[in-house]
Amino acid sequence: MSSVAEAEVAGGAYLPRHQPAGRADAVPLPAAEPAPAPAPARWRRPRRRPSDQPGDGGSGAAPHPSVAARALVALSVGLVGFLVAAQLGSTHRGTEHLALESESDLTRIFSSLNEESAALRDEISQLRLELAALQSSAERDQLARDAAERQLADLQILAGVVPARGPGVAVHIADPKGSFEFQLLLDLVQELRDAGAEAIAVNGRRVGGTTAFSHGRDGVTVDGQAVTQPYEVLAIGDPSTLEVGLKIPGGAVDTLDALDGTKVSVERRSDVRVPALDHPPTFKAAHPLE
Amino acid sequence: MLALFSLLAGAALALVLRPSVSPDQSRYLAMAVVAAIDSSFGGLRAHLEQTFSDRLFVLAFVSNAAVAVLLVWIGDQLSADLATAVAVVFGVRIFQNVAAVRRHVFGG
Repeated sequence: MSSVAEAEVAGGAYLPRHQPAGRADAVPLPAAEPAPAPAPARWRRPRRRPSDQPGDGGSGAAPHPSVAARALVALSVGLVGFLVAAQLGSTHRGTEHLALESESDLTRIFSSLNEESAALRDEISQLRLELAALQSSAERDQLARDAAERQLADLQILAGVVPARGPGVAVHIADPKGSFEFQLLLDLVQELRDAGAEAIAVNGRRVGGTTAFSHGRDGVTVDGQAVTQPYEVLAIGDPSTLEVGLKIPGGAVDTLDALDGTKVSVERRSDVRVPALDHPPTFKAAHPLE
Repeated sequence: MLALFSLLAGAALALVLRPSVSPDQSRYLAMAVVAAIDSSFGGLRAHLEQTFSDRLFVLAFVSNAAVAVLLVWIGDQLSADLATAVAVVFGVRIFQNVAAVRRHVFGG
């Protein structure tokens, strides 16, 4: 395509020197007679009816030379089609057309390509910055989410709405004579919290932030549910600290031991499990400020 | 008719096969294509003038393309732009042949 176009332009540029007709379209008509005599002559030279000549074909051994010759012609013309298509495909694909550009055009193309590449490079760095900003903000979001999740887990344990497990102590109180009272249980829980207990349960009932102790007909109640002896108080926390806190002289264990007929034991455990609250607290009056 | 058919068949084959032509060879192929196009128009003209010869057509076809490629190659070796010369020569000849064909078809 480009080669033919170049030939056209070149022909228009060359021929007017000896042909006054400036238009490329008009060039071939007058030029046909004088200048390239051999070309048309070659096509005219052969016999009038080549197909009648038996020995005309290239391959003499063929029984029907005209068939072989026609096949050859067809092959040649097919080759033209093949080559044209191949060349068109290759010039469209490559940068061959640049070879036909003039120097000033090439300079222009080059500078425009330079500008384009600079603009694209700018865009790359801008997008990199954007990416970094988004990544850091995503990291911040992730950190905030992790912190929020940790806080949620802590608050859930503190509120008692989820079961919890961990090292801790188990306090067993045998009270066959019924001298144990809820104030003592309150003192015991308070003592455990003071010693750093993170989750507490009394006879399988979780002690949450809204848990209340009272006394009912049969003795002590926790959140309105009666608990009976022997009492078992489970606490999750550092076992040694909890034990030391309970056994302070004049502390909870001493007080309980002094009661009539009670027997208290404190046992360290590596794995204490406390259940969740039966009824998680619902808040109707209090709302968070802000 | 057969020639037209094989022309289309060759083009279709090239489109299907998608032969890869390196930029170096592309220059030579371009000249060969111009020469082949010239030969094709020459053959068409000879056919219309009833002077068509199979042997001469095939010979001219091959030799034109070969000479065109050879000239471009020599030009490259001598760092002379013979490709333009070949293109000009064959371009002029294509014009002449097309003009002859046109006269035959439309009269005048």
